[in-house]
Amino acid sequence: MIDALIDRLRALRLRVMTTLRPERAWSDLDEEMRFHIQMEADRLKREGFSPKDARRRAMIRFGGVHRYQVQTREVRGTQLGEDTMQDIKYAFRMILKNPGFSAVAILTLALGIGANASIYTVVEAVLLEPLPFHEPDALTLLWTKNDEQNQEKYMVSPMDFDDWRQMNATFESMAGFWPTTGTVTEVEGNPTRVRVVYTTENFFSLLGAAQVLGRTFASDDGPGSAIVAVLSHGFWQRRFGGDPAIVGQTLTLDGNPIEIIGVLRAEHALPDGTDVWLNMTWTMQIQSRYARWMSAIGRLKPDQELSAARADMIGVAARVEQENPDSNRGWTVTVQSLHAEMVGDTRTALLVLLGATGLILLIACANVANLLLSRSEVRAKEMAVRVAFGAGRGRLVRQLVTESLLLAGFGAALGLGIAHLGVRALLGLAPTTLPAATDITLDGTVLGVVASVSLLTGILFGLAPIARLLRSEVHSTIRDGARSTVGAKGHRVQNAFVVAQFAMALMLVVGAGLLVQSFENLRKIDAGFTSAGVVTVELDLSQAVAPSDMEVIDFYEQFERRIAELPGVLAVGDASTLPLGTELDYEQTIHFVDREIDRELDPRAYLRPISPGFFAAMRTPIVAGRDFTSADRVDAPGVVLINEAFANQFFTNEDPVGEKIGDMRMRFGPLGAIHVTGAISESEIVGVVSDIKYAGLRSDARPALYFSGLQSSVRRRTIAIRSASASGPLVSAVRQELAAMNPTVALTDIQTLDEVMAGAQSRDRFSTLLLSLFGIVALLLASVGVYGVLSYAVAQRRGEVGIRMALGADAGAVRAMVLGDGARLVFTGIGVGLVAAAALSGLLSSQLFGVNPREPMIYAGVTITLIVVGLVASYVPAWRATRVSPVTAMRAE
Amino acid sequence: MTSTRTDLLQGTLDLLILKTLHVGEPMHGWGVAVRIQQLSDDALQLNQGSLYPALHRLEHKGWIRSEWGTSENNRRAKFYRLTTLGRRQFADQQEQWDLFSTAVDRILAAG
Repeated sequence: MIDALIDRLRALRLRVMTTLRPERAWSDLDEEMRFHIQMEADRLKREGFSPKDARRRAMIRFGGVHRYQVQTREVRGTQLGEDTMQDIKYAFRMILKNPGFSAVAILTLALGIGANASIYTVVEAVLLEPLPFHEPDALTLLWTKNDEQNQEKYMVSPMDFDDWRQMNATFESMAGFWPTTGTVTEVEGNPTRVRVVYTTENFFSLLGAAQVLGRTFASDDGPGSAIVAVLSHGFWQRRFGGDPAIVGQTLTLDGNPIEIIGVLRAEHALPDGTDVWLNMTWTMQIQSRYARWMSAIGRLKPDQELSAARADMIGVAARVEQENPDSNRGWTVTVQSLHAEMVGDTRTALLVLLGATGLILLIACANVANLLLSRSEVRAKEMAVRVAFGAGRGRLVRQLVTESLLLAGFGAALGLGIAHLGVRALLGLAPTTLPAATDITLDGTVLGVVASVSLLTGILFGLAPIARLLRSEVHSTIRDGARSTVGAKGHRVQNAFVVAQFAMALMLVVGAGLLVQSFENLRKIDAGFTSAGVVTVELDLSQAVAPSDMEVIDFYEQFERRIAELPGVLAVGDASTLPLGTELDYEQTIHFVDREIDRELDPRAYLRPISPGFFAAMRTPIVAGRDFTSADRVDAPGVVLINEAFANQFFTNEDPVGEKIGDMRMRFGPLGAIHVTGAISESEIVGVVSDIKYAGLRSDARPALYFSGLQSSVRRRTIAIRSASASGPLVSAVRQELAAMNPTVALTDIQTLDEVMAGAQSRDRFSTLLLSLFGIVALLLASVGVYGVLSYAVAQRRGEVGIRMALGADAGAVRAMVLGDGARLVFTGIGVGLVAAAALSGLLSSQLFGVNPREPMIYAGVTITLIVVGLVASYVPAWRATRVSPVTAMRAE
Repeated sequence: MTSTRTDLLQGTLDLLILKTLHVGEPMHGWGVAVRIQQLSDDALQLNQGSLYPALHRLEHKGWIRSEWGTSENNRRAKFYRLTTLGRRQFADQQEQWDLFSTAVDRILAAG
């Protein structure tokens, strides 16, 4: 037995070697034939022929060297090929002979492969793909952390940062960076708002980021050096058309000329979306420890773990706190890997999707397995007959494998198409916050893995008829086969598959149901404003445009007055922070002039300057007191509005209107991005406004204070314009007004509030849509599964049914019998699925809003749906069973 | 001439090669040719070259295997021998041949 196997393997090796290195085989053959003719000629010479004659006769007896070389070559290599061709032809015939079976198997595989490959590609690209930097695992982000102030990831002051990098023992290096914005202009104006990031000079070398042109920052670009600019690849392309001579040219940023020293590689842009990087030319020590505005990134030493770095940095922060008890009380450090931070909360959503596709693949494989197993009942007969006619078993195995491979091949090809469309569709639907979404293309490895799993399923279960044959005696199979008795074991396996399919389908549909309910809840959330009919635009006034705080206030007031006069405009107002936006919202400790804040209350609130028209434009109702008016200017008394959350937090049963908030001028960043002008030291609460959601639809509104925009000098504001006219003409009219006031100011981030709302819902919409789609696919596949199994069972029991009906059983009883078989499978599957869904739905809870993961109504609804689908799928074969004419059925015996 | 020489039936060459190698000694192609002719008392006249496609076919099936060696007159030659698989096949084929030839004999005798 073993010897025979070795012989087969040796033959296989020979075939492979002949295919791989044919020239060697042919030269061997030449030598062999030459030897033969020589031997024959020698023999003839010994018999007395002349050497010349002997050679001639030897050649004649050989019968033509070339002819036999050609014949031998045909033997080599093509023996396998010929059989394969035969197998493929036969397989094609089999596929065409059972178009229904083939179509279902191919479609099932295609869906399984397509869905999995596309989802997995996206998940891998986002979750598993390493960042494009040098040894990215060593990159970490660092924040300050203050439990008292409820700050988990806060900025760091440059002085603290300087201490961190001096005192730590676990980091190879640390770099600071500060994302902000600026306006780039040209000689003729043409202003563009850009995302600017100031970095310490070691930022790029720490990342291992490289340039496509020029250079990045070097060690002599540190404090005291001239400011220079590195452009992002995208900005270089957009603004300069990819000018290869850009290095050495001057960039005018906020009115200052800056030398361009290089262009960064596209994939190395960090933070994502940055247009220009500038070196920090100031020293860290001139800053205050209170001014926490810088971000920090570090590279761990080669042998250091994240946990060690955490412990190290907490120690460092404790020492800094000891030395600076005033500024650093309660401040410690959060250390997180860059990758984990970038992937963020996309992780759960994507893992849920991945799990769902895994289930789909399992269902699809179960379906294919089931179809093939069902067919094996029929095929076993055919196989036995072929063995009886002398077909080798090995040959039959090969033929079945060819069939399965062909089926799977079609499935895979179709799946590839689906996967391609799938990835594109996913990216089209994907929330814009999906990291690196634009770089995702179909992953070959992923496709390979998924296709292999499906192929393997096909091959494994495609061989079932042979397995059957090897177990049984050929003669008995043929004899019994004619009567089509069903091996109880085969049926058990198929039934188990159907049960598993229904269980998995139930889990998916329950998941989808929960997400749909959650999404409905989310849509019903009152964000605190009416989004329809509002366009928002953003402006940032540089020092060149408006040197003083008063000029900033005047500019916005004048501009908004111009907008208000445009036809169709109903209301207009500005705000420093747009609701549901991703911009920074500033939170700060507050105090009242005439009252103490209860120690248990968190004495902090978000500070948001808004102009008098803002709430009117947003249609956010004032619930008490009054709105700001154009009289609430710098020369008037300080006034603030509070939101309802603020009122509830600090004034349980009292009227907040008339209370005063103490001095709280804000200083953020080296340019003092937000502050109330210096003359105002205390502000009276003049009204209470309804809550607006800022940090996303799911989050509750937090206490907030609104300042009068006419009393604050924020340079960067979003203007909300409520209008009865279409947004397109409105925006161009607004642009004209701006150009008339100052042609160097850029209008950016133009969007409607509806778009902002849609953006806030996009991730939920994405997962909901996908999981619903999966639920439908799963239901479809599961019903095909139960339909297939019952159909075959009915086909096999045709004789039995025929006899029963001949003996007087009525159609209803027969239908009930088949239906009963189906119902048993469906109910068992649903039962298993309910238990599994209840156990696993907790994993979804972070994705759900206002829905209990075990919401009985949803479970009940899904159960009923599945029962209906399962029974409909069972009814068709049941109905067909009763259509059997007893005569035909019994003749088939 | 042709009346005393029989053309080989399709497929019988394989059986003859297996039979020749069944003796046990590894043989080169020419040796096989000579042996077949000897054993058939020159009744079977085959183009010696036709052995080679057959030898290679059998080798590809794993029924025989080959090895380069040195011939009796000290030349490099390829030697063939039967494998375990080939031995089994030989038994099968011989049996089938017996059945076949008996059947044909019977029919012819009946005629």
